[in-house]
Amino acid sequence: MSTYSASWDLLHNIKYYKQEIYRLEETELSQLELSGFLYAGSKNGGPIAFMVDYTKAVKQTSMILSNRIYVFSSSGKLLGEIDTKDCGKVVDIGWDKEDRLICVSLDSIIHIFSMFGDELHSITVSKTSKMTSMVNLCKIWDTGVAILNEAGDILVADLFKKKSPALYKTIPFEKDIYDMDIIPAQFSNSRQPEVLLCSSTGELITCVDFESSVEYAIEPVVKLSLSPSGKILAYFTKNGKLVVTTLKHDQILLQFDTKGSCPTKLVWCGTDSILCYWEKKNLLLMIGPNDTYVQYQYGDTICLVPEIDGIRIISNQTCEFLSRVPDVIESIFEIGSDSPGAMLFEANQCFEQMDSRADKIIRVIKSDLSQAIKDCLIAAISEFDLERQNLLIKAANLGKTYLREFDHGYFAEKIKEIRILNQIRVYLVGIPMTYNEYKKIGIRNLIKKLLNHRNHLLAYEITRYLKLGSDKVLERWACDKIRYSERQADEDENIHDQIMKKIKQTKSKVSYVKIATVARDAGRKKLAIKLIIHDPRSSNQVPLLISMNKIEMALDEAINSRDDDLIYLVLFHLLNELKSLSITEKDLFSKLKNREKAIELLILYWKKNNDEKHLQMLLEGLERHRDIAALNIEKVLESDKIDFKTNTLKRASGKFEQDKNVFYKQMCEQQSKLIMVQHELELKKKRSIDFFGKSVNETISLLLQNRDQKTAYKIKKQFKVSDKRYWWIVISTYAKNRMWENLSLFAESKNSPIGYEPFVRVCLNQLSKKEAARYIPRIKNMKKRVDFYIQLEMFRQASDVAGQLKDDNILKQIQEAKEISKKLKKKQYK
Amino acid sequence: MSLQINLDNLSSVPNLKLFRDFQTKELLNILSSINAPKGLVLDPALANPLTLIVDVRTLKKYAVDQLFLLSSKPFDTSLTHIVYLVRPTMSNMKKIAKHIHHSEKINSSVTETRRSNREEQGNETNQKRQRTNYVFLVPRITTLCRKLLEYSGVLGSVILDEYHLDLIPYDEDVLSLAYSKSFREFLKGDTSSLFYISRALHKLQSFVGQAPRLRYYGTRSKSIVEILRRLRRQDRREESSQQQSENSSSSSVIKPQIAEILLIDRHFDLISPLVHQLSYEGMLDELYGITDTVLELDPKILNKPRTGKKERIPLNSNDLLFAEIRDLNQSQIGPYLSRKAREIMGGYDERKNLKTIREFRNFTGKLGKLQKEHSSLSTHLSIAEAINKYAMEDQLFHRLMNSQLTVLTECEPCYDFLEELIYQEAPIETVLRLLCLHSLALNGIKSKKLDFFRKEIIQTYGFQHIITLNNLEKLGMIKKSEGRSKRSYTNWKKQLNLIDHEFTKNNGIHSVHSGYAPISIKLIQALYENSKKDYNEFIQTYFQDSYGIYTQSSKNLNEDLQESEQQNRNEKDIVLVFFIGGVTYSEISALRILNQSENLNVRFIVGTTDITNGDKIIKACSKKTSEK
Repeated sequence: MSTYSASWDLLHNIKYYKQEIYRLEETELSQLELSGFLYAGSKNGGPIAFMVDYTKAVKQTSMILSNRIYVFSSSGKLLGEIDTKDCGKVVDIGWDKEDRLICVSLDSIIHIFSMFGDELHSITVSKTSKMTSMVNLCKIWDTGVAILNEAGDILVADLFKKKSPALYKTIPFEKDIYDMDIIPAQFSNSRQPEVLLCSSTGELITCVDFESSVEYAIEPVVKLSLSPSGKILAYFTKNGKLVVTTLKHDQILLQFDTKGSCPTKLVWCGTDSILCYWEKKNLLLMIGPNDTYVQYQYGDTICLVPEIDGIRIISNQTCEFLSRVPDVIESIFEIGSDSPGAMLFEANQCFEQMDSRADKIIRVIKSDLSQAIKDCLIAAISEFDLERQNLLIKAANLGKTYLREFDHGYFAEKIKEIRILNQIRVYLVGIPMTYNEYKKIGIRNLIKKLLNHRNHLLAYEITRYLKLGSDKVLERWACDKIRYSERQADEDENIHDQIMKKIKQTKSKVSYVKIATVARDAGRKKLAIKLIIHDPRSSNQVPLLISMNKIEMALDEAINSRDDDLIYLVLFHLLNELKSLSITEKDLFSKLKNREKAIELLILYWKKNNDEKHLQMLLEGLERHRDIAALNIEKVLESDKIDFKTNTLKRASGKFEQDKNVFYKQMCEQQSKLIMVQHELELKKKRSIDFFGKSVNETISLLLQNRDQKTAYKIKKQFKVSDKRYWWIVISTYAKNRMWENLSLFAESKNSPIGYEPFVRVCLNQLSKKEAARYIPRIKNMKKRVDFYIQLEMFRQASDVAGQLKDDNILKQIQEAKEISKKLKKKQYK
Repeated sequence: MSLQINLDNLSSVPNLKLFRDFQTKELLNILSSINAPKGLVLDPALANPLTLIVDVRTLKKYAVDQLFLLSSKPFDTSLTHIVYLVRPTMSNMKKIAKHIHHSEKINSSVTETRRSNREEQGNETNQKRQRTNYVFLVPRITTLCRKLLEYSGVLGSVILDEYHLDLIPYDEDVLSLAYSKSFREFLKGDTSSLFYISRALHKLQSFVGQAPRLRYYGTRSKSIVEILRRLRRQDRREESSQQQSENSSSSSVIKPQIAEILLIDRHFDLISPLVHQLSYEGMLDELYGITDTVLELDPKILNKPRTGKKERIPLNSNDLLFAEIRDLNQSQIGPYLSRKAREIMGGYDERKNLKTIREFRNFTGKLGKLQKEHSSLSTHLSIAEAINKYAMEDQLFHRLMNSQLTVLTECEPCYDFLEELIYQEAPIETVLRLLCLHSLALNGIKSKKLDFFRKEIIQTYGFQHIITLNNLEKLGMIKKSEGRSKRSYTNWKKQLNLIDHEFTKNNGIHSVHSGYAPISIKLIQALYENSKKDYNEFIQTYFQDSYGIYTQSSKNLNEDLQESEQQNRNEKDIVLVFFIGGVTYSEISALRILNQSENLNVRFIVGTTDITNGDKIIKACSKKTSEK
């Protein structure tokens, strides 16, 4: 093992090592002439994209096309090819945090692809919607893209928020901007992405929104790089100096004169050292504090992919990982180390060789055994080399047999993590994620990543292995299955059955609407319909069915759900089609046929929206005469034009006749007559009386108030008002208007068909006791007379009538009433 | 003074406090999410119900600086954040659109005038003056409203969202949707309220547990059970998938506090609301109208000086005295209150006999309660006096009560009185209530008689009532007489013992209408009371296939239920009786009276779309006076 630590490099006081992850000879990646490519690697062990760099004239093998982007896994497998001929001239490529490929074209359009080459969508980055400017500089990071265009505008697009790109500052033309970097939102003070620029005059400009601040570097700066922690900035000056400062520029942490020209790449290796790479010399220089550095000379072009804890180095031969030696590895493998971990590892070596010293060593570190086991486990996780990893696990295991009380759960958990990381690192999958990265993104994002890589089975196995819900995995599998399977006519049935079989087998709860939507978007309508009916929510089914123009199905589902809102959703779709003339009324009605509920709601809507034309049409077709009649009557009531009223009434009465409703038909005719009569009366009275909208009773009453008894009586005859009602109208009108003389005359005119009690009452209603008393003697019922006299406190008269009745009880009653009234009066005087 | 019912009693079952607080919190969250001083525009139909959820002072705390009632007239305000809280109706959307157009017009004219001095001001200030409009639809966004806003061109200038206010606790035992339109909607074939009701019941159950049994009577009740089952099914599917991953705190875990939900379709008993209510609370509703548990009275009735404003009296069981008298027959109120008055006076008189300091302390402790009762007593005494005066002096009232009872008891018409009501031009609602009562109780009115009354009504009250009559006929509340049918009123009367003239003596539910017991409540009594009589056949002939019971078959639930049953063996099972299309105060009172009965081993609480009465039903059938 001593050879292991011998290969480590020391930078200041920190040890670095390169681990080989994959050998790439014989892979598809080894065919590329790397020096001729623009490339970008995705973080967390993600894929790497290569595109022919048109600024360099390097001859490629004939298979390589210049307008294509090639995507490889770190293990050298070709994952996808992207044809960029529709994207215009691509100036930069990069990856977002979900392993989607971002291409920025010269005309400021961002195209987003899956790693397999499917274009997902595009964003146009411009100040105004019409004008786009050419890209001058651009920077792609894991959640966004920043563009400095030739007009000097800085625009920042967020790839995960649905909003248009934000315009930051505009940089005056005279300034030459050499490089740009981003302070991601999670590190910035403003909680928004901030843009860092370096200009030819040595300015370092930080922009957010319209705000900006300027610091001055010691010399003009040509390259910028922010550390993965977001706190420290490294820049390379025109004169070959590398400077590292805090982001606030209050402290220069490092200054190193490389005496070189501007490097091809300036990247961080973890957070403790910076790498400068000069492609021409194939030289990689790692610089640390106190003027320390390590030099790596390569035979050929290499590609650098920064990770949070190190750097992936890809050449035609290997994929390596350069990083700090983790503390646990250092403590175990350093020559002469006597840390508990190292001792345990050694003990295991002895144990394997059946050397009895094993037991002794363990006894020596007994008190630290628990720490030793933990160290070995962590070291095992950090190791890319499976052989060494295996030895470390064995050592931990040995230690555990000596320490019964060691937390079994912890041990099992670490083993699980090792297994998962090993699984995703295998050649076939090719995601060389480090332990630190795994801890940072968490298991859920790891599974997402696997799904993005279309490793559904592995993702599924992991979720099962860790007893996590696998519903989302299955859902994604189903979606991808639909998206990427062969498009043949008879495939729909097959795919549906396969998906349903899997879902049933695994008892998963998936969102059918999501899967069906994918099917629809893939142009597989039949499949989408087959899938959507499994969704338990009608509110999911209906909109999708509408979007596929399955109107009858949507209607039935909506009606079934009894949610009126869903029915309206379908109706509005149909009404829109009606409006745009893609369907006719006839089509609409035939679609609604026998769907009562939908018809009712449509009637309701048209009624409230006063769409009379359509309403009549629909009701007419349904032969709902009575409803049409009612509708017409409502129109009559709302209108104030006589002609319109009489005409509409005629229509209403016709409809009632069709409905065999003789009574209402007559009522309509009568109303028509009334309107005419009222109109004539108004003309006759020179419009001094307003009869408009008055009922028969009111009309008569108005005439009486105006002392036109003759016409009033004529109306009574005309509208067949009964004598009884007529008498009531007359006496109430007279009483209300205190036309006492008329009332009295009327009482004398004939024998009253309603008796004389009403006379008394109408007077009492007007609080006129005097007038009321006048009519009491005419009441036939003597008892009633007594009651009224008592009410009017006419006790003498009451007694007289009672005397005629010869009823002692009544007399007594009168007496009592008299006394109560006296008491009340006394009270009032007090 | 808070109008909310106090729900702090933790031992009350079901516990509605959490449920109400949840809805309050949702509103407050909405308000605090808009971090600026704002104007709140309320749908008049929501203003009163909202006072039962949150008071104005709390609104102020959440930066509601101005309150408006939504009307078609736009208002002017300097506030830049306007929050509309409205029911999702077409007319509301039209009003909001009008407001927004108005404010935009003003804004553009402001911009116009400012254009001249734009250089100094910069255009940012103009932008800031622009209003942000939030439209919260209660209880949800509907396609209809979204489309209407879109068609009026304002969808882009509002932030559309929803506030899920549904069942509001009116009292410890009454929940209402405060959805007064439900009856009118049924008339028009609009059944959107069925979905609202189902969702509301579903939500309630996520707080008080899934009721193991659903029982339904009437077609609309059946629909609701179907929707509820659908909702439960959806939940179960989605829940189980969630359980696998994260939270297992699903509603099915909550032990059911409600054992059964009984759904009653108002349509099956249209008679009872037509009959004048004579319980104290019912009478108050008939005479003065109670809006969302608040009675608004002319101060004169309470012997207070006129202020131009009406006195607002909250009517709920927070008022202990009111809780005692609300269910009594109005004729019993006078004697009861005078007895109570003597008791309270006696309470005050105690002070004369106080000797020790401890006795004094005890007395002062009681004093607060005494004073509270005293003030409540004087309020109700004044009201009772006013009611009594009305009942004694109004010459029609007495005769109306008599003829109602004649129709219901003898099943004989009182056409002469009905005729006189029309001649005296009594309120149209009174006339139509009695006419409908005739038709329903007598199983139709003879064709000639019916034509006569219809003509008298149209000629007297105006042609617009042809619409009212047509609607009432559509609902079957007025019809021409046919042969006897098994579903007729006489059959109900015979089977369910609807009439009892000795109601004062028997303390039964007949007291709520002075002799007549609501059919709806009598049916409920028949369903739950241990009785030898078998109603099955009778119910079968009436409801045919639109009645039944649905039992939740889930295994866990039954176990839970058994457990909880064992725990509260002494507690009665709770049955939530939900009335679709409204319930009257008399019916609620009758249910409360039933709760006192020893023959029942369940306790009823009430849920409803709204509180109704005969006048409201007739009005719902009349042509709405168009608002412009």
